[in-house]
Amino acid sequence: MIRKPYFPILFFLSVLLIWLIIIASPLKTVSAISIKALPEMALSQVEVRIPAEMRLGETETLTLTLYLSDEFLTNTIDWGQLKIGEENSVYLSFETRLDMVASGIKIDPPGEMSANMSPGHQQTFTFHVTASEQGVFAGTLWVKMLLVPASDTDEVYEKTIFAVPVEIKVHSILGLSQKQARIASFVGLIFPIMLSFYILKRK
Amino acid sequence: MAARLKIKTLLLKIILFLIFAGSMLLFLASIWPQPESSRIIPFPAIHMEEFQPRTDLLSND
Repeated sequence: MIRKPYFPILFFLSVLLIWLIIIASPLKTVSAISIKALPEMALSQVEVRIPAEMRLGETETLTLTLYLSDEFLTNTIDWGQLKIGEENSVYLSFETRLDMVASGIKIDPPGEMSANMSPGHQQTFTFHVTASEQGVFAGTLWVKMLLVPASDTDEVYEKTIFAVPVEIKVHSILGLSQKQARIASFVGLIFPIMLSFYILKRK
Repeated sequence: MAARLKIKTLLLKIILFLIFAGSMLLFLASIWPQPESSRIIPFPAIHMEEFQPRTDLLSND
């Protein structure tokens, strides 16, 4: 009697299927056009990328990119009485902070991040967000602009430019966190393979 | 007797396959990319009069 090797073939096909699905799985879906599609630096703007959904126990990144056009100081800011020139220049700095009141979300770094910038440049701020509870979490991403007159660096002027609402939905996988689900799936994938080999060997 | 053993083996195979398939789905659910939202916001007009002097340089508030 010829023994038909159903199980090895079946498992091989299943593993091949997993591998193909992983390869074919889409990259992160982003619901807006990329900044690269816009005319180059025509406008000073910020791009915010927020993980809209997360798995329990997962760590994702929230990024904020500031783009300053070459004419940022002259076109975007109304200086009023103040005249900015060679003798009366300012240093430009930006501060950003992510506030989420809920305890189920851990933010790294927890406080503010700041960077000095000049027109015609871009700067990216990255926050690492870890979800330890499931639910919907809301918060605010604050962006402050700081002006430091070059003549008097002790004086700092600030203004909140953006307050971007942030909402992150955290869900579990059948009540398991991402790590637990990976461990369970690994055990679940290995166990039938081992057992089937054992059964085949006994025949 | 042989028929019963055959049914048992078949049943075991089905159970093992279900465990394998379920675990595969669980694994995929744990690695599948999550949606991300992206927003591009232009800078508003900024007026110099709206700037406030900062009181404490070391404050995190």
